[in-house]
Formats: sequence, structure tokens, C-alpha cells
Amino acid sequence: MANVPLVPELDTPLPKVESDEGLLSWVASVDHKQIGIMYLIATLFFFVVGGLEALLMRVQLARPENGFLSPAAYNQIFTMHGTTMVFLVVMPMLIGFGNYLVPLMIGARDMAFPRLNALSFWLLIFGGLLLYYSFIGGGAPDAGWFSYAPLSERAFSFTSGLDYWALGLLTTGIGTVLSGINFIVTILTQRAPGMGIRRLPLFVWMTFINAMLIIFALPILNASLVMLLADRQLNAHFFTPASGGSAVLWQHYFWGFGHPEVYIMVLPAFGIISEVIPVFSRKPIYGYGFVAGSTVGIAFLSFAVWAHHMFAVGLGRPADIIFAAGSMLIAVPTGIKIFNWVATMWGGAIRFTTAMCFAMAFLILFTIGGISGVSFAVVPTDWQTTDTYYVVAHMHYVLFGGTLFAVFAGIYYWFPKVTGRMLSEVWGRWHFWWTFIGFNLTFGVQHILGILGMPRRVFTYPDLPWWGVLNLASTIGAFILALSVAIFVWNLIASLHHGATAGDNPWQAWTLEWATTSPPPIHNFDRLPPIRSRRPLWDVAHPENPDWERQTSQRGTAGTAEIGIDKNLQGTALFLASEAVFFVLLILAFVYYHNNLFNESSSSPSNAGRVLDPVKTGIYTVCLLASSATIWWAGRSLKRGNPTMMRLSLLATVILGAVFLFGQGREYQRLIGENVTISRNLFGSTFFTLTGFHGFHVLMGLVAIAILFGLALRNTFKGPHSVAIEAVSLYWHFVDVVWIVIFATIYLWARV
Amino acid sequence: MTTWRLLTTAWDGEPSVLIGCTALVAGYVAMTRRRPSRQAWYYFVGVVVLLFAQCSPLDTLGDTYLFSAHMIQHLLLLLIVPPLLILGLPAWLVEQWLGSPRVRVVERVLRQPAVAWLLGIGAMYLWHIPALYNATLAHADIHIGEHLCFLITGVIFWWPVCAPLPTSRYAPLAAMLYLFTAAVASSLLGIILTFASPSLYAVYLHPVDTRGFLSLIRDGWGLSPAMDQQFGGLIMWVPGGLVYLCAIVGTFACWQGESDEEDESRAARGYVGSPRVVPSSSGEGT
Amino acid sequence: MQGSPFNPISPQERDISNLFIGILIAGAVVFVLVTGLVLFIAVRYRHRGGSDEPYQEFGRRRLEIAWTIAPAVLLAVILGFTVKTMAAVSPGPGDHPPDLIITGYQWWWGIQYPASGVVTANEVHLPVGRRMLLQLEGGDVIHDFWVPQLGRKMDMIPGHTNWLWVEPTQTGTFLGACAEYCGAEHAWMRIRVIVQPQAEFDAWQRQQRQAAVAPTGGDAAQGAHLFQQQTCASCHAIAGTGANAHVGPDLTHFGGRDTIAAGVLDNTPDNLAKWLKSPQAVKPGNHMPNLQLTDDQIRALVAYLEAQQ
Repeated sequence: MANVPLVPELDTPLPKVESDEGLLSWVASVDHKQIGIMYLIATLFFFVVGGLEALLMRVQLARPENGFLSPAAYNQIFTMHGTTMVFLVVMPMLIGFGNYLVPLMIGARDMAFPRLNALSFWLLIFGGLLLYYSFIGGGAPDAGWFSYAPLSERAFSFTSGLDYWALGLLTTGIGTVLSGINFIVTILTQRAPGMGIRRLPLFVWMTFINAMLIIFALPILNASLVMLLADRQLNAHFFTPASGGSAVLWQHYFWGFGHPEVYIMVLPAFGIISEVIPVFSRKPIYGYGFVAGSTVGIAFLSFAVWAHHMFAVGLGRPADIIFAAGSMLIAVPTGIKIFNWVATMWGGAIRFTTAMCFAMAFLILFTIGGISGVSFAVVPTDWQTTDTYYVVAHMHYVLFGGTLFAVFAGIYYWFPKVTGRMLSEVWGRWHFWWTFIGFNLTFGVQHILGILGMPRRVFTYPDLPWWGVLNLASTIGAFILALSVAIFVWNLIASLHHGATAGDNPWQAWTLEWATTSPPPIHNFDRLPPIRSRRPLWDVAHPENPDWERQTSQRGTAGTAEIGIDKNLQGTALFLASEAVFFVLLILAFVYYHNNLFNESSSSPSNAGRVLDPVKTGIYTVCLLASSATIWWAGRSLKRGNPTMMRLSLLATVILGAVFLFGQGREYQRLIGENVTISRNLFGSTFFTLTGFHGFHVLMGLVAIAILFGLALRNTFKGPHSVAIEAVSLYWHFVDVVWIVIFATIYLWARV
Repeated sequence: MTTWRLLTTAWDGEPSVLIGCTALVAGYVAMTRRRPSRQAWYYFVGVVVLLFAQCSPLDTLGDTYLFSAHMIQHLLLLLIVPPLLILGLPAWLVEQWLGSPRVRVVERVLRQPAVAWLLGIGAMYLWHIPALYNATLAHADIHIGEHLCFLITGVIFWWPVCAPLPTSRYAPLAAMLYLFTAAVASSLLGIILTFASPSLYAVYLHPVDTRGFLSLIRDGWGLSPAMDQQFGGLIMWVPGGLVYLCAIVGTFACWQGESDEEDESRAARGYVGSPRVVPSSSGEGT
Repeated sequence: MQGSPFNPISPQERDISNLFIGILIAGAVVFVLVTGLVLFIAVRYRHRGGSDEPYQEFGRRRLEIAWTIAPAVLLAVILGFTVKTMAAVSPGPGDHPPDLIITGYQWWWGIQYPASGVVTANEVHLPVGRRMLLQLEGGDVIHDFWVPQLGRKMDMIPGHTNWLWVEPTQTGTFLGACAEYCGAEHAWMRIRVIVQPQAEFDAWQRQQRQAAVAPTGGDAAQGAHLFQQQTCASCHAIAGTGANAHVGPDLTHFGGRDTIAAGVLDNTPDNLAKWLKSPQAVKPGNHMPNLQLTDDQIRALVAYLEAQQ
């Protein structure tokens, strides 16, 4: 116990908010705890909204051929229910947990980028408002949360609902990517001394992997939304079969995002379960390495299984077989987790708190969801069950019985830490049992409905044997669920005012967040216990039997390994990784449609490709590449202490970049003069979207470099290194590399 | 012609392959004769897989009939054989090699992430350019060159992941990132091949039926050229990706298994992607 | 009758159903094991007072490997059955010409028999015991052909043709529906498959091939006139008359069909009158406009259409 380290201070002090009370202290907050709480409150609000939408649907479906809702209203409501629950409830709720807990669990002062963190949150709110504004802005989106083209194209969905949908999701999507970057950099750079990566609490580890998934998966959605918007607003042809686009490509793109998204919505929930079960079983997590490692496996595999959403599309037997195998494989790491949680409880001394009840119910319900999931990996049974109520049941067992049960467990577990007061266990028990009963009644019977042949997303159904009775049962279940949510909200409010005082560590838990007061002070910790194992507070409470003596792999002493890269550069690199995914999608769309390379497209854009002039563009390309060299030279000059040369190099970079943009402008002018536009054909759509977005990135880079140049004129950069210059250089090199790929693809390869 | 006949008759050992494999085994035995170790099994399994890839019906099918068979062969050469050969090298032998300064310099350059990554993935992309690919099928020499290229770039790619000396390896998180990005890149190629029209590699559209297997493949197995190419792309995409995944999980497992001292001592050496040790008393580094 | 996938009427569906039952049994076993274990632990290891911590166990590698491999083996077996069943259930079209072309539109089904030239809508007639190849097309957005008892569902995608083999072995009427969300009236895009003995099917086909009989007098004759004069003919076709537009369902032999508007109403004169009076009230959002017909006009049109047997 020699060293009792202090919490590391942030390298830049946070801005002081004038008033530390009242609304402004929340709106202007950059404190991860306040932002985390705001995330949870906002998502809870959206949860209630989405839940009310679900109730409306269940009322409409309570009996056959009901007339409570018009088909148009029903379709808008089910679209908004799905979209709300996925993008405004489950994903941000888990991000909110991460926001509050990750810095506390790793003994940090705050997130790595506190202001960026606030931006992420407000982007979520604005995205949500944009989405809901559609109700008064001419009609909500009505093409389902998956918005399959061509139904989502203007020809078939002519209200502006889908435009709000796409814009709202883009806004929240960008915010989510920024959150992901923030989590990764926080976990890599802000850990307290002694908190090695291998000692991370599992919730933090899962949030880390989750953030990785986010920065690679969300850009796929963003790119697809951009293409959809181009179709709807600029008459492009990406997903319109009538003009050569592909309805199947949208599905590939959407599920390429959509399946990793499923795991984005469940991995942090696994993390919560991995914290709750050990504490209330009074044992360490069983097989930490396997639980953590299987998460890596899930994250990786989640990118290779999306086509199991598309078995009915007719992709051909090879694709079906391979994706079936991949989808079955992903059950293995998931099974490992379930078994390890069960093994954690085995031999324990289980405390049946409400949190533990929810966690144990999670085990059972998630297992049901996993088992019904196998019938979608088995292609022939998928051919029967897909797009029926069987899927609705399965998906709710995973997302409600899985994620939301874990969230409830997490709320009961951490509420004392956040508020300083315990949630009422009596009300908690009522909440648990009504939720459990209501949930199983609502969604259990939907398995049978699916097997009886009831398709999903229907606003009504004919009076066939059993359909009416089962639907009525499901509706009754939904009202029981609504009651349970009301109990929960009541419990939150009542306990906030009258709950028993919690104390620092009411559950005798072992992770760092319990080492500080409840609620934690603004700076999180006054002192940290020594971190010598995964359970620092166990070691403090049991000096006779500390973990670091038991586990060979824990037998290190001091020192935290840090990645030796500045956090701002890490953030930039991660941002560029997500940008790379975005561009890859745009390039793939071009490749997909080019020259009949793929069977899908009917009209060949190659003729239009002849209008390009690779020589002229090649010259401008050289300018752009030269600018990469000049900006590198700028950084080098700074290192060598030659500010004049640095200024000149920056100026040269700006000029070269501007020349490139000028060249692109000339080319656009010429093409448009020859009537090659984004709405002309597939070549135009893919070409202008791809080069246009690249041009936009060049422009942004130019602005940044121009600002650097201005700062350099005022002698802002002194030392041998400037993170600003390095970060902008990194961005600029990235833009150049992307251009090389674009140039090679469009100007060289596509003209052959 | 039945599947059984095909599996039993379509073996042939090309001299170049036999000579190469013999040389690999002989060289290994000569160098490690004095200190045999259990690791040798990895090496010999690697050579057997190499022999299998080059002499089994896989080779016959891949050369004339099936893109997918050729893909399996390439993946074996690029993703399976090299790591096995590397794992089979005893640490002391590598230490001996690295004793020479020149070798050391080459090794250090080749294990730079950008170099190793680009070579490993670049080889994959390069040889799938239709012009080059078709050339390998037309000219046996180019074909041998291609396979050698896969083996060599494969060894370079896998060296920093599973080299016998920990000093040559990347830090675990860096290695996982390295493998993950490689998996993404190879999956992209797989995706493109899967959805490309089957005219990409003309030879497989109308195979010259030199061995009389065509009717078995088309009717018996029901494999049309389109399905064949789809299978090929998918094999690169999913099972190929799984090889990287196994490597990622393996790296993770080794990392979890080692003690903190090892973890920190590696960190202290400070090489590519290595974490830096911050003394615990100094608070946060800059 | 709408039946479930577990009442197969074709060998394809029997294979799927058997596989489904198999994995349900396997799933039930896993479920009972996990739930039983959780409940057992809940009882056996509940906290019984005292403040001693239980034995702190961190994991056992052998056990971990066991529960990694066991599910993997189970899934490998399932995969084997999956691949086997796929080949049996959904073989490729080969060089076979399609026996039927079914096209999905918002929100009805266009049905063609290329060999005989019969064109109909919303009700598929199939001969019992014969393997038929369906060609599935998407006319506007994505739809999905699904008759649970007959076999797999298959998407109907614009620009992406799919094929499906069916082989009903039982006569009767079997219900199905569009199983891909396709807009406002997705719920009322239902299909019926009428499986008949070969002779009956042939007779049906012969009858369908005949052109419409022009009514000689009464309401029906007036209806025929109205059909051409009002805008009906600009969307609907009736073979043998001047109406040959294909925006809406083909109405040749409409009177012989069981339902109106893809399953919303039974095909009775009263219901048809209701439909013609206000299509948007019966099936809100569908593409048929309200033609503001008078009651007399409706009576005439009903008489005419119901006579198209």
C-alpha cells in the first residue's frame, strides 16, 4: 500500500461555469457526469415516447380489422417507434451509462474531450427534434426504420418525412461517432496509474469495443443516408431500379450498418451484466479473459453476418451458406458469455436485489432471444420466419429482454452512486415482476403469431383462427408493461426525494466508482486506492486475500502503460478511420455500378465516363499531392526552428490545395456544360457524390490550413511540436490518399 | 467421373513444388538438428499444408476449373502456411540470424506496420487484377512466381504478429488493430469479387476440359461459373476473415495469459505501437 | 385456410418444417438447461445470512474450452442440415422456362401463365402434384411472395428477378400474404393459392383464355359501356374489349374470383358496390381514385363485372 496515487488532473483545465446551479449549469455543462445524466433523462423521455407509440400500435392490433388508426398513421408510428427506440433510446442510453461511468471506473477526471462530449449529446437532441419535427412538418417517415429503397424514394414516399428521417439520423449519427472516438481516446489515455488495459472493468472494456464498432459501423449508415438524400433531393439514381439503380444495394448498405448496430445496442448491456452479477454473487467474474475476448470476436463477426437479414432476397446459394455459417458462429462467443455469467453465480452468495433480479431475468430472456435467433441463421427456417411476428418477438427478446433488462439492472445498481439515494426495493420488486410478466405476455405470444403466418408491419389483419385472441393477449401484455414503466418512473421520482441515504459503497462493490462519494464531487476523486488488480476495492477490504496475490497475470506493480501518441492525434486518427469507411462506401457504390461490372445494374454509366480527362485532372492531382509534401515540410520546419519556412510551406499548401479545387470546379463546369449532372444517370450520381464529398473535405482542410497560416503569422507556434499542425497534416494526408484512390478508380480504371 | 475418382486421381507433384518443399525441410533439419524442439511440428505441418495446396486436387481444380478452389489455395499460401512456418522457427535460430546487422536492418524495415501491411494486402489485391490473374493461368512461370510471392509476402505480413522473438512482435493492441484493418481490406476485395459479374476471369467461364471433370462440376456439384466466383469471393471474405479473427483472438489470449511484468517489460522497450511506461508517481504524462 | 409452416402441403415445405421442428427441439433443450441452471443456482446459492464472502474463483480454462466447443459442434451439425435442406428446398431455376410470372404491385398481385397466355390477379391457380417454376418480379417497390404452407418466402424486387419452385400435393385454397413492407396497404396485400386437380386446372385455364362475353342487355350492358366510358379502362384490362391498360389488376373473369382488392372484401355484389362507391374508404391509400359514381352507375358496373365469370 505504499503508493496512494492522486487522480491525474486534465492537462487543460475545464472552463468554469458561472453559476453552478440551475438550468445553465446543465445546458452549458461539459462535465461527463452531468452529460451522462442528461443522456439518461433524455433517453428515458424518448423511451416513454416510443413506448406510447408502441401502445398505439397494440391498440390498433388488439382485434382484427380494427379502425383505431389509419394505415398511414400506423405506418408512421411503427417507423417512428423503431427509429426512436434504436437511435434515440437504446444506443444513446448505453452511451449515457458509458459517459457517466467510464471516467469513474478508470479513475479519471473526465472524458478525454469534454467539450466534444457535450457536442455529441446536443447533436443527439437536435437529431431527435429534427426527427420528431416531421410530425408537424408534413408527415412522419413511413418506410420503416430500415427504409428499404425504392419505397423510401420520392416516387413512393413523397412527404418530407423521410428527409427529416435521414437528416435526423445523420445528425445523431455524427454525434454517436464523436462519442465513440471520445470513449476510445478516454480509455486509452485517461486511465489512473495502475489501471492497465487488462485491469479494465468489463463494462469499460465492452464500451471500448463498442466504440470501435461505432466508428466503423455508423459511417456506413451515414454514407447510405447521404446517397438516399441525394436520390430524394437531387434526383440521383443510387437506389432507383427504374433508372438503373439497385434496390439490393441499399439493403447491403443498411444491414452492413444494421447488424453491427445490433451489437452496439447490446455489448454495453453485457458490460452492465458483467458488473452487476459478480457484485451480487459476491464473486469475481468467471473467466474474465474469455468474456473480454469473446467480445472482440463478436465485434469482428458482427461485420460478417449482415446478409442473414437478406436470405429472402435471393442472393444465391453460396452467399446464403457462408452467411448462415457466420451467423451461427457468432452464437459461440455469445454463449461463452452466458456460461461465464452462470458460472459466476455458481458457488456464490446471491443477494436478490432488484438489480440482480433484472440481471438474472436477462440471462433467461436473452437466452430465449439467442435461441430464436438461430432460426434466422438456419436459412430454410429463416425463409419462413423472416418478416413475420416471429422476428418481432425475437428482436424484442434481445433488445428489451436483453438490453433494457440490463439497463434496468444498471439503473438500480448505480442510482445510489448518481444521486446518493437508494431506489426503493419494494417498488423495485413491483417494477420487476410487472415488467417480467408484461414483457413475456406481450412478446412471447408473438412467436406463435409469426409461426401462424402473420407478417410484421401490418396495420391490421384478417380474422383468422387464433390471430385475434393472441393479438389481444399481446396488447394486454403491452399495457402491463406500460404500468410497470409507470411504477419505475414513480420509483425514480419518489426515491430521488425520499430514498434511503446510500453512502459511498452501498453494495460493497469493487470497482473504482465506489471509491468516491455518492454523488461524486465535480472532480470525481479526492484520492484513489492503489490499483493492483481488477478489483481494487476488494484488495482494500481484504488485505489478507488480495486479488493480485491470487492471479498470476495480475502480479504487476506500478506504472500505467500509455500509448505514446497525443490524445488529439489519436482522436484525429480515429475520426479519419471513420471517414475512411464513409469514403469506401461511396467508392464501392461507384464500383458497383460501373461498366456493368455487377449483374445488378442495367444501364451502363461507362459512356459518360468517356467525358473525363485524366491528363488534366492528373495535373491537378499532382498539385494536391505536392501540397501533402509542403505541409509535411511545414511541420519539419517548425521542428527545425525555421518559422519563415513554415509559414511559406503553409502558404504553398493553401495555394496548391486551392489550385486543385479550382481544377475540380473547372471540370464540374465542363461536365455540367455537357449535360452530365448528378441526375443524368448513374455515372453522374456516383461521380458527383464521391468527388463532391471529397472536394468538401479538401475545402474544410483548406480552411483549417488557412487558420494555421494565420496563427503562424502571429507566431503562435513555438515549440518543436504543434499538435494542431500535426493533426491538420494527418487530415490533409488522408484527404490526399483518398483522392489517389478516387483518381485511380474513376479516372484510370473506369476508363479502361 | 465421380467425386471420389477426382479426389483420388487428381494429385500431381510438380517438380518445382517438390524441390521447394524438400529444400524447406532439409534446410530446417540441417539448422535445428542439434537442438530439436516441439515447435518443429508447426513447421512441418506448414510444409504439409503447402504440399497439399500445391499437389492436391485443389491445384488441378484451381488451375483450370474453379475460381473458388484457386482461392482456397491462395488463402492457404498467404494465411495458413506462413504463420505455421514462422511458429515453427525456434527463437534461438532467429536470434542467430538477427545477429548479422544486415539481416537486422532488413528485418526492422520489413516489420514496419505500413510495409508489412501493404505487402501482405497488396499482394492479394495485385494478383486479383484480371489481367495479371489471367496471365498466371496462361503462363506456368508467372503462376509459380505468384505463389512464391504469396508465400514471401505472407511471411512478411505474419512476422510481426507471431515472430518467435517478442522483440519483433507488435504490442497486443497494435497487433489486433493491424490484423483487424487487414481483415477489413481483404473482406472488401472478397465483397467486390462476390458481387462482380462472372466475366472477370475468363478462363473459368469456359474451362478447357483437359481432365474430364467439367460435367461432374457443372452437373454433379451444380456449380455454375457465377456460383463459383461467388463462392470464391465469399471464401476470401468470410473464412479468410476468420483466419484474421483467430489471430486476433490468439493475440488477445496470449496477452491475457502473460503476467504484468512481461507486459510492462515489452512496453519499456518502446517499439512500434508500444505503450509507454509512465512512472506511477508522476501523474499523467503529456 | 391459412395454415402454419407446420402444416406443409408440398415436399419443400415438409423439409423446412422438419428442420424447424429439429432446431426448436434443440433450442428447447438448451433453454431448459440454461433456465434450469439459473433457477437451481438461485435456490442453492442464495445468500443465507452471515458476512463471510464465498470462495473467490476466477475461472477454469478447461471448462471454458468445453463450453466453447460444445455449442460450436451443435451449430456445425445444424449447419450441415441447413445446407442439405437448402439444396432440396430451393434449387436454381436451371434452363426451365417459368410456368408462372407473378409480379408484385402496390398492393395487388399480377399473375401470368406464359404458356397459355392467361392473365389474372391476386389468385393463383395451381395443378396438384406438378412442379411449377414461379418467376417473381417487383413491379414498383419490393414485395414478397409468401404462402406458408407451400414453402419458402421469396422477395419480389424491381430489377432483380427471383425464381421459386413449388409443388403442391394437396388440393384446396391456401392463404398467403406479402411479407415485405411495401407501403400504406401492405396489410391488405394478401394472396390465395387455389390448388386443383389437373383436369379442373386445365378447365379453369381454358375458361380463362376465353375473351369476355359482351353482355346483351340490362344493367350489365350499360356497365360495359360505362367501363369504357368512365376512366375504368384507362387502368384496367378486360380481354376481348378495348380495355387493355395494366396499371391496375386485369379484370377479365373478375366475377370468378373470391375476393376484391387483394383480400380486403369477399367478392359479392354488395361488397363490390361498396368498393366502387369509395375505394379509399375500404382500402385507404390504395391507388384507385374515387370516381364519384352514382348509385345507378355502380349497379350497372357491378352487374357487368360480376358477369365476367
